[in-house]
Amino acid sequence: MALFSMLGTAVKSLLRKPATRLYPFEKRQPFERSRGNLVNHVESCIFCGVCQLKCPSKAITVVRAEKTWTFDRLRCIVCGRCVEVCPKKCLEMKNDHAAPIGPVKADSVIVQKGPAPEAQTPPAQQ
Amino acid sequence: MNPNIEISELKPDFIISRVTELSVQGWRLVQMSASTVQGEGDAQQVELNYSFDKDYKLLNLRVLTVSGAKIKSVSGIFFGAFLYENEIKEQFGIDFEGIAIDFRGTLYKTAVKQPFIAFAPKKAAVPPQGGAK
Amino acid sequence: MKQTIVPLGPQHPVLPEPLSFDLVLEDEKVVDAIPSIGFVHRGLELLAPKRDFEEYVYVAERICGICSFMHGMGYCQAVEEVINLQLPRRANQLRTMLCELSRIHSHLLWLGLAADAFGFENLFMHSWRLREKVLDLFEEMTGGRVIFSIAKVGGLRKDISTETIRRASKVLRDMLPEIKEICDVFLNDASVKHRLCGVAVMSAENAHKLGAVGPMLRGSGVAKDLRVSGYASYGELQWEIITEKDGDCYARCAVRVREIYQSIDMIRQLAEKLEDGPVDTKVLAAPKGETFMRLEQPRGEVVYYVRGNGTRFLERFRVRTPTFANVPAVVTLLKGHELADIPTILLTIDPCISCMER
Repeated sequence: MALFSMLGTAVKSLLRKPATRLYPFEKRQPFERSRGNLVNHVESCIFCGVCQLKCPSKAITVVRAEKTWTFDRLRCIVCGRCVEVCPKKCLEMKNDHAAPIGPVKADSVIVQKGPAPEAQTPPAQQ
Repeated sequence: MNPNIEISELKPDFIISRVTELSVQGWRLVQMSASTVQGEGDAQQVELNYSFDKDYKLLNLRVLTVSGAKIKSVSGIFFGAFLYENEIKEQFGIDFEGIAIDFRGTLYKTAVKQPFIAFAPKKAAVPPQGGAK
Repeated sequence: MKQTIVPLGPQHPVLPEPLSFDLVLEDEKVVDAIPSIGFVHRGLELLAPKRDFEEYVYVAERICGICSFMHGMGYCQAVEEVINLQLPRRANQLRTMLCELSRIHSHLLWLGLAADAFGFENLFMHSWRLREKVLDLFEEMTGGRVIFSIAKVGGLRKDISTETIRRASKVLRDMLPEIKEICDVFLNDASVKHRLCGVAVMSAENAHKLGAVGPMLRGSGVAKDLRVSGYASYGELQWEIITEKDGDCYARCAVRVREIYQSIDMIRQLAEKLEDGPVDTKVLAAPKGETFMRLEQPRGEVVYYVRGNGTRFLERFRVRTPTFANVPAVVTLLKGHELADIPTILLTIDPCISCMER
């Protein structure tokens, strides 16, 4: 039986640099595949609604007629299914976590509208 | 199905004798579960399933009964069965008699009593018989 | 002799999760223990008929945080067996590798909690420092530290490159001297042995009768390990069942320590045998039929029962987790011990209460 067998490890960890990071001065670099938060590039979105169908936690609501894409950040489980099935590849899973929301819970719901249709140019007069 | 799995039917009266026989032969109680089945009659039919294991073979005994029936407990033979029986009693309403430690309904304090019976799928309506005459 | 009833839990600094015991004490010796569970009951089994069977994987993964991947994989394997789906070899090998990595992670976590239970905080911190390296490996391979969301019915959602697997195997082997340094303290230090040896002895016959599973069973000398049945890629690996004879807390600790070394070796074997190929197959049918699937989680044997009726929604999904089977054993083992030994005995079953209460 050994006595004080932890002494060696304890002295070594005193003399080495600490295993922890000095956050927030030194931030952790996320990995390439990390699932952080979902972002929609709404300029290319066609509001087909496939992401709404495939979401397991019903975090996305798409209204095609009004061209709105609503996303409840707090319901999202960051699984990435919507990114896989999007036909236009406009949904992107960023690898860093989004900033925390403020005290109002409704701030967690993000509503994005599609670009307004271009004004009709009158046909050139002969 | 996997050839190592065997399922056999059992009548409720023979549970104690069959389980004692298996215990003497060296089988180990793996789990006990229950599920609702579609059936005739007003009371909800429940199928109990006792699983035993020996040498990586799984033997299942199926007992068909109704919610509210009285079944003798096997926790005298396998002490570990008391937790499974309390859970089935609370979720399905099967009344086990003589459980080693009886929680009397305070194991999971759910808002809806006997949730599996309350949310069991309703019987599909029989379509009216018809036919061109 | 007067008896006192002391409630332990559900909120207690020693217990990692809410589990309550009413202890009947006679002057610091435990005479009887009555468990109370149900504090994190979420009713996940009743959710199965309400979710599409391909989406239920995400619910099954969240039954527990430590055994998360194996719950997802066990559900997928049970549904695949009902549908009769054959997976490509690479999918099985990658799943096996993630299982073994989960096992290393779980045992390192347990070692830290066990050290915390008998008051050795320094050892707890070092075990969890090593666990962080394993969590970084998970995040690099699958995208998540605790919940991977990589298993699906039919295989895996993403491929993991062979080069990443080989590098992970090398990282684990480079970690071996550090792991050995920490585990030697668990197995050889005088003060640790004083707390673990001779506590909560369970004979092989009692273990069998009480329905104990996992390291509880193997620490008492019963050689039973579900990986022998050869699910996923375990049939292609060289390994042997680890048992210890004494049946006390020290024996179970030794079983878990040796399982860490064995898992690192299994990952090395898999990294060498990894084949190229696809990682998923298409799912064309809905499950119709029933089956039982048994896996070996880090805590013991887990049983999944799946019954489908041909629609996209399963009829019944049942999980019997290993902690549920070990609770009667701990209720029996607590009798006759001192109050100070109780945290050690509670942690020797490796309780995962959120698994137990789904």
